[in-house]
Amino acid sequence: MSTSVKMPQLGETVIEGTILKWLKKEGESIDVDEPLFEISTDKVDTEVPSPAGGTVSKILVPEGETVSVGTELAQIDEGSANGEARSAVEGVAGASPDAAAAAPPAPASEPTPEPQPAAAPSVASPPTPSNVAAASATGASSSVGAPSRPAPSGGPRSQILSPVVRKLAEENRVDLSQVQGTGAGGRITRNDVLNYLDGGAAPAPAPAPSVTPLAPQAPTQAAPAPQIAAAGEREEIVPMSHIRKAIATHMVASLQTSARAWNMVEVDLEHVAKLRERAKEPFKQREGFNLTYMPFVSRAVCEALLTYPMVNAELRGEEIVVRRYVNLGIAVSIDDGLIVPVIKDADSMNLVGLARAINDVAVRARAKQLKPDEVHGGTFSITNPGPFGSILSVPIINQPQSAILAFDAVEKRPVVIDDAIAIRHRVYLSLSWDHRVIDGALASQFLGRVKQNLETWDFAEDLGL
Amino acid sequence: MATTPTVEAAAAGHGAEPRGKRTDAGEATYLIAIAEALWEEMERDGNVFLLGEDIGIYGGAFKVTEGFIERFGPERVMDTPICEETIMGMAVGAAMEGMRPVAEVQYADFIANGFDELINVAGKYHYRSGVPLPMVVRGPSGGGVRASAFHSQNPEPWFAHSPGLKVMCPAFPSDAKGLLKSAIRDDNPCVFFEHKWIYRRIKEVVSEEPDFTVPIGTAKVQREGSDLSIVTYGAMVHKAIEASEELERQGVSAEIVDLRTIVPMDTETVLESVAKTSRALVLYESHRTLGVGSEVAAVIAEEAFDSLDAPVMRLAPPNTPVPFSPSLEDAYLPQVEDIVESVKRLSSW
Repeated sequence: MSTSVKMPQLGETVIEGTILKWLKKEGESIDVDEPLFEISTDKVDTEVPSPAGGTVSKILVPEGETVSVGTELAQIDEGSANGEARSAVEGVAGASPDAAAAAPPAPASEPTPEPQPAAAPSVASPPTPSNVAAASATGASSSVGAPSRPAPSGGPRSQILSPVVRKLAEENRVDLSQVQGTGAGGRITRNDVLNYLDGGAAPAPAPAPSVTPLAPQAPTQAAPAPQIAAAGEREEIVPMSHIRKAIATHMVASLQTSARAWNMVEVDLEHVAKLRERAKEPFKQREGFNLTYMPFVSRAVCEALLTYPMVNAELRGEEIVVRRYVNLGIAVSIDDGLIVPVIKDADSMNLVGLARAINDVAVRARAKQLKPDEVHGGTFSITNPGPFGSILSVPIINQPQSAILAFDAVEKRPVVIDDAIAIRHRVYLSLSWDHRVIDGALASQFLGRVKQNLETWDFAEDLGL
Repeated sequence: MATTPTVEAAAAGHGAEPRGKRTDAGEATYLIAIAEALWEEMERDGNVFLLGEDIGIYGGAFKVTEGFIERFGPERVMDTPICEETIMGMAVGAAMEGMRPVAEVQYADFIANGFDELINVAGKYHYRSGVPLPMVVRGPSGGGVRASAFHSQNPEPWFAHSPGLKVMCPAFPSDAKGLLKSAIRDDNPCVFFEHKWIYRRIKEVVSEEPDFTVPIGTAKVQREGSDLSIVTYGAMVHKAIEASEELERQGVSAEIVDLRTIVPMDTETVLESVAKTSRALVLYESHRTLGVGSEVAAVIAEEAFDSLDAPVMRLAPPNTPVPFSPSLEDAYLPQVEDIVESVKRLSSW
């Protein structure tokens, strides 16, 4: 019997993934949970383990190709590896002796219908007549309005565009998906573009080229492509990265969906600061990383979320899902954007456990080593712009959650205590919340609880002091 | 005509002695071309004089100044003590007084002994006092002649780094002659490195015009090509030419840009070439780290980014002393096959 391997959904809003690399060839044997392929999605790049052990009998999607979530990618034949596979070889031209050209997918595992990610707003651009025309005219074209994206199937290096290739493509409006890359790994070289402009090289197989290949290509006839202006004096034009686009879509969608409101408390962190000062050195020696304020705040937030679970809720249609557990999202700034890894069951961890978990996901996020299930399933998020110097933030809610807490820079400030002026470590904690689910009173109560926790709790025991 | 060039040259007066050493075909080696430049400038201008170790009676360690003391006398061809600091100091002082000294360091490596006078005095004197300092320091530089760590170095980056000095590293006899004459006529302190591997290996017909000069700060495309640019200077130009012939056979067309002058550098010619080819291999004989080519690579990256189809690549010796063992020296210096291999990696990037 064979198991079908499908493109996994690596996050609520992720609708497609690109196969970066197959780690097994057709005909090779594989154990269950052994890495089978690498994929890239809007959220993470990761290895995906095999759902079954046996022989990789068929690879259906080649490297470099982008397919929707749920698309069948490969089949694992669970029969005894070699014998069966060999017997299954049919006269497939060019297939290696081991390559098992197994029978078409036995519908043993029911073909999961392509999960339509609920209203992923990213793709919901209304089909204007011209848009539709474009789609039908060019077949499966992914290049609407984006002349500088090469075909994803051109080889492992086909996405590397050198400065001169970008410039030539921009100046001459070349749709790079039409240019065959002859460089190493399928990279499109300057000469490939020049040859293409000269009409010298045969265009990539896809659609028929316009009659006069010398004329500036109009790959976007149908869709009113945004004018690609040439860079002006002291300007440069930078294409949006994958992750940038994902962030943009996600953030705009959040603002369009939620009724965002905001409030803030000021918290006295004097006790926490003193304790952290005392604990810092031994902690660093023991754990190997710095003790920041984040675990303290996270700990206080988890308790408050259990106390006021409506802040830890999700609006789903006309129902509200209220959680009695906390999957805490931690916003981590990475090279080319931002990612929010999730700490599962954060409410069950003590201070040190939270510190370890936060450090772990932050380090791995920056190294792009997060596993797919570590970037979704969050119930509440914390963002911490403090280290960059911000003292007050108004974050956008990470949908479909209902609120997000911003923890800004801890500063020494003069404050009045018992009619005397004192210098204390203080911080602004602010909350963006969705007024569809939460009201001002609740938001204030929640923030008050976090404040109270941070100001009154004794974390010393947690830290072994 | 071809039978008696020696006699004609001698009769002409200018540079008679060195020119007498040209081949029958009128070709001068790099070394002879340098001697001609010195001779002609000394004949032209009574303020020009030479000083250095063993340059007079002995005629110089490499015989560049052979016959000079007989023609110009010991006051204009001065044998000095073995002390480079003194040589530089004398040159600086004479230049302050309006003379045009040309100092020789026996091997360019020894220039380090005169470092302070060159870097701190000569390079900054005009800036500090407004008084020009027309002096030239010549030195045979470079490796490939089995001369070991003290006699094979390429000190040009030391002087290129410090402001106030012009630095030249010609690769061909004509350029050597023309640039040296320009340096002697220039009112700034100039450091002129003569690659000793080239001295007697490369010869060509060199202009006999008394006022033939090559402008300082101009690079020259020694070979046109379309697939990539090899930016280089000195002895590496010849290695690059040899490599480019092999590459031509393999279907790769390399353009060779010879910097000729290191300071001031003709970046315009470099950038024009890169704009044309979109790929650059920077080839140099000074150590790889912070060598002359490091600067060239940085300029290309900064100013020709838009034109690049591949990262700028450097090929240069490692940061070790120049080895004495022939096989090690060969491994240390970029060889023709190294260039071919680098070019192939670059063109297949």
